[in-house]
Amino acid sequence: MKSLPRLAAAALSAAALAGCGAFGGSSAPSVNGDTPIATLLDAPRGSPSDFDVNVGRRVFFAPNSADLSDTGRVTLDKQAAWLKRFAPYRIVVEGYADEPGSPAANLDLGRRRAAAVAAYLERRGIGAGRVKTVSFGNTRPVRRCPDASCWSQNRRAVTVLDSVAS
Amino acid sequence: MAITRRAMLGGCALLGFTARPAAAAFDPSPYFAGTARDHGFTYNRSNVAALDPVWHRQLVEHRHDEPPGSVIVDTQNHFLYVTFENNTALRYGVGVGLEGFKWFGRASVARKAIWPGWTPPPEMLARRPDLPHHMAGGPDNPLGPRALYLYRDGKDLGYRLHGTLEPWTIGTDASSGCVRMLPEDVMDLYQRIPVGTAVLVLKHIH
Repeated sequence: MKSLPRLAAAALSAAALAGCGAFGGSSAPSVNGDTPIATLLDAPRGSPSDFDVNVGRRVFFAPNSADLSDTGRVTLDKQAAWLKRFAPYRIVVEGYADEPGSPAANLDLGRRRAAAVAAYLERRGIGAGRVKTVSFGNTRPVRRCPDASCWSQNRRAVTVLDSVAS
Repeated sequence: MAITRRAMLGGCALLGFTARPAAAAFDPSPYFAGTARDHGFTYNRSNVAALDPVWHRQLVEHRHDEPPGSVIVDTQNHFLYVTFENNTALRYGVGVGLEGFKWFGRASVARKAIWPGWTPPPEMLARRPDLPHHMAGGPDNPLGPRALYLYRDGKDLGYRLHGTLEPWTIGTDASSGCVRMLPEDVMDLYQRIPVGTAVLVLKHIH
């Protein structure tokens, strides 16, 4: 049995890693060696962990494409609905690429992916003033390996909750 | 990694039409909360609050050796993880059918389907002539609203991540099916992982 301070510290660091601004603590028991951060029911509504558990940050793309997929649109519809309800958040849409090709081409592809997501969110009512975009090209892969298990994960755009607008 | 021919053929095709709790007076109604619409179908929404919180979809700190962007299926403990950076993961409670214990190892998601149909394999039809030759996707299909199909080296393992019509079987070893998830959870998983995602099904003691 771990001591309480250690447990609390572990939970706190997990919450910090997950992007929870404040220590919330999940009501779920710790099992299987996991430290619960937030469940779909106990994540504070409108919190970053609520966004992670009940919405999802990421959409994925086909190779060398910045076209949104039907699946991607479903996730973006959920993001837009959440962002409308919890209006204070600004967001940064990060575009990434992992195609063969030059760093410049990948930077451009990441930029087009982020722009496609931002444009879609704007059409769904998220004001352009709340949305910034950035491309990291192929410089920040989720995974590194020479097959589809990595490429599929790296061809992505990630909606990151940023500061609360004043 | 031992992949038996039997597992390849049989896969997770055995899906229950008859799985019922032993108690005759079992009342499933607490496990449902109204209905919802998806892609033209109306299905029963799960009442997640009726389940133990350990089975609730949740963000956890999880120690593992897989890189981010993986799926880990822990059949022994009835969890499925989608791994993120920083040792965090999204964890789902799952039920595991008999077929879910017939294989373990590394695979990838080669195909995803919305309201999947189901075709029993010939050897199962020989044993169970009462089964339909094909069951169209829909709210009565035991695969539920989504299925994700695992392949290895280009071959269908017959191993599937799919839905269930029986929310109370989450967290249990069920009589049939493969990796069974709440309809809401398998729809969520469908959104989270692209085709190509690596899957590790952990070794189990069964």
